[in-house]
Amino acid sequence: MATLFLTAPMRRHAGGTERLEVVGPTVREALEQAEKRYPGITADLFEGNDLRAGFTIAINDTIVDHPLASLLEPTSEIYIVPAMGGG
Amino acid sequence: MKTSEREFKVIGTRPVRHDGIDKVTGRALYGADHSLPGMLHGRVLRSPHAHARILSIDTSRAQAMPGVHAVITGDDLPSVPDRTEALGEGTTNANDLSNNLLAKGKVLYDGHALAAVAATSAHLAEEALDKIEVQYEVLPPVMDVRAAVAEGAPLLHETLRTAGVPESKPSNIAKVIEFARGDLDEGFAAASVIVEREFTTAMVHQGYIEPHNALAKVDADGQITLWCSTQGSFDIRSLCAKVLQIPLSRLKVIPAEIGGGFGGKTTVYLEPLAIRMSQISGRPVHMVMSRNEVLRATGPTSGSVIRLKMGANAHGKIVAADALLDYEAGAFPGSPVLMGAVVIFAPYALENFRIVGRDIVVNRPRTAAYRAPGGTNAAFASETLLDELAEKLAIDPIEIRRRNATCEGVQAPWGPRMQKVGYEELLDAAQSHPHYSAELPPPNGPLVYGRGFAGGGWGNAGLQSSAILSVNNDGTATLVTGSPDIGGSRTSCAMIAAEELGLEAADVRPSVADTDTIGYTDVTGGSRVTMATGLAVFEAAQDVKRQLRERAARMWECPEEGIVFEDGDAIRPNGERLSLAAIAGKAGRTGGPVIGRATVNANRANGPSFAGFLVDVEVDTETGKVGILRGTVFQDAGRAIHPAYVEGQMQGGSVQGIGWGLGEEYIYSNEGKLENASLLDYRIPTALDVPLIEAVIIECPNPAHPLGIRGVGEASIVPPPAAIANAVAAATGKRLPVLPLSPPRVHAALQTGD
Repeated sequence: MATLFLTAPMRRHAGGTERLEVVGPTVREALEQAEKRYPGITADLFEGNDLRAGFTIAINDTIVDHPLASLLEPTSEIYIVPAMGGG
Repeated sequence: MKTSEREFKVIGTRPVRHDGIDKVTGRALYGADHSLPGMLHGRVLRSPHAHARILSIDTSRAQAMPGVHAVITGDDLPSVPDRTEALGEGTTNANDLSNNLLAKGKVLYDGHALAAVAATSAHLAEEALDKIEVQYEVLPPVMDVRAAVAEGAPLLHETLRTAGVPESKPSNIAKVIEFARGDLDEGFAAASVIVEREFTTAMVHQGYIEPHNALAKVDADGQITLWCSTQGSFDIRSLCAKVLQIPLSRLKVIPAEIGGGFGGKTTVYLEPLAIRMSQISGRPVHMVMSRNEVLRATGPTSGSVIRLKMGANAHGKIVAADALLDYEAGAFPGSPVLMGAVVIFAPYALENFRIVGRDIVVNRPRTAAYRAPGGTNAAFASETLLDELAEKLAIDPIEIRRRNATCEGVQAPWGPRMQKVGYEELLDAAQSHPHYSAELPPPNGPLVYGRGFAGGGWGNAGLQSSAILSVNNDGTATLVTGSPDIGGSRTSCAMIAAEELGLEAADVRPSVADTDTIGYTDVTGGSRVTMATGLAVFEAAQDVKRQLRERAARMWECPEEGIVFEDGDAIRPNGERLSLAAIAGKAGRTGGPVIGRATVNANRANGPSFAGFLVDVEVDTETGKVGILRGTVFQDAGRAIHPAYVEGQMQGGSVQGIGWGLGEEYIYSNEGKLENASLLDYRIPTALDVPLIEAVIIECPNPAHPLGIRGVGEASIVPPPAAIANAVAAATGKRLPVLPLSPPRVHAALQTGD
């Protein structure tokens, strides 16, 4: 099973849990499983059917090109990452 | 082949930059140099008040002046959605952007634009501004974050509520963000030493030499051409199109040469106004800001108040860290507090921490990106407090950093695990550098001396880039990208193409194209161009090489299988070779021109960069003046494509950081009027203020990039203020948690003991 690491705001919906086991096979389905388990936990991440502007997804140590469609491995760690810019 | 094992011929050398002669002879064309027949000159009317309701604007007398062809106010800009969306480099609220271009309802800072005029001469336009009558109801200003969050503080935006806080009331706090992990109470309970301070940093400006400018031409069919000085022509196109509600296809943006940006030229100020007035007048409109306007109404980056508590065990391991970062957003939401939260503990492996950041509106200019946005403020707090921990634990200040240094596999405070980074190698380089063990001068009357070190990291940005690489029939090449060149990136990209094709750097002619000529390319920002556009160039070169193998096969009349392209030649399995020039010369008979292209989203290839700054200071205890005697900057570049440009970035970032540390700050009157809106009074370091900064490049190749490149433009600005404060503490015994460490501030602290 892959591991979804919860952001600090998400943890408030999950009784303080820092991570959840999820099966995928995609990031979208992993987030849907989290939402089923803790209703409201992903509400701030989505705008309609898409990830809200300002968020992206990293798997293990890499920001992925296709955030919600990315396929998960059993050892995958999923991180919700704020989109970062610079000067 | 791993990049670390590859031998390079062009990468790592120091060729003369392709645009060098034009730049040093004055032939390069900057935004203000452009002109068109029949061109009008635009000027902007700005608010003298920091916070006021606009009761009325009467432009009739200006409109009636002969020679005045357009006068616009906020009413002349279309309504746009009041929501944050992906726009520009990151996310933007188009309604806020529009209200910053021309105020509607209220003015929110000294210098806020209210109206613009286009006339046949600049003097006439300025005269027309004087004839615009504005009635205000002046309101009390909110000038810093402490005042903005105080109970009963005047509200800048009556409808603004705090994102990230359920059921919040109208507030000046636009957003709250949080990163946290572990158990803070447990962590602090395990600490041998705990230190806690409140830090204040000043609002500062990017200080680019070239003021903002724009030249817009709207044709009779509505097609628009815009010349401007920008870090991102596609972003400028997107922002203009959004606030003017026009299709992207109607607007072509031509980037001029740029006289510095440092993040401040990633947004729009004049561009939509010039377009709108050209639409109205039917004539080209040219606008150039004065320095006063640049300082009052563009850029700056956030001042901040940071409360930080850190605990370490007897071995110097940080066991808990708790930070609250309050950042000034200026008049509209959007401070870089998120990046401050990312940077504050970035160099360290922590198990128990909490980082809360608040984006707070105040009656100051809307902030813009500035080199490692938000990072310098944050590192000032964490790197001075860590120094204090080291002092209390009697541990060498570099050694305590090594004991906590992040490395491959560590989970970063903002989430994912780190790939290979070079912070440990950087600390080794700093500790073994002769500077670290050199003797300091002994105290001399009122003069005392100290040495300080600080580190810092910056994540860099990936984003999208495009490249077109064309082979000429004499075997040279032409490279087109969409990344405005601020720090030598067009030469770095040409070097990557040359390396891959077996050419000299001078054999590749690079150019920066307009938005009609090249595919979408994100801003020159986030230290991304050599890494990301360089990746597009690398991949375009692979496309060229694939085609060259195909063409060589046709020339040899043999199967393509087994042909390789190395060192500028196609090579058959039997050892026979065809040079690039030979293949290119026959391109017309083997299928036509050879053109490689690539588009990339480089997020997957991005790699953070870490920097460190080692500094010796002289403090005059009678005057409070702090002088820089020696500075050495260390940075992990991954792979230094053109080492001289990497060194230049490291030195430039360090000197800007010294400016933050010693002199730069926005000074406002009690009424909210900016009192130092000139470079005489806003004190940027000059060559007389700093010695030559020695740059030490560390190369730990970025494993995610085929050439090992990391961005290098930003990390070097992060550590200097903290390093200077640590050096001042070493010299005087006083910890000064306020920037800048200007003479009056240092003198007062030394006198009072604060």
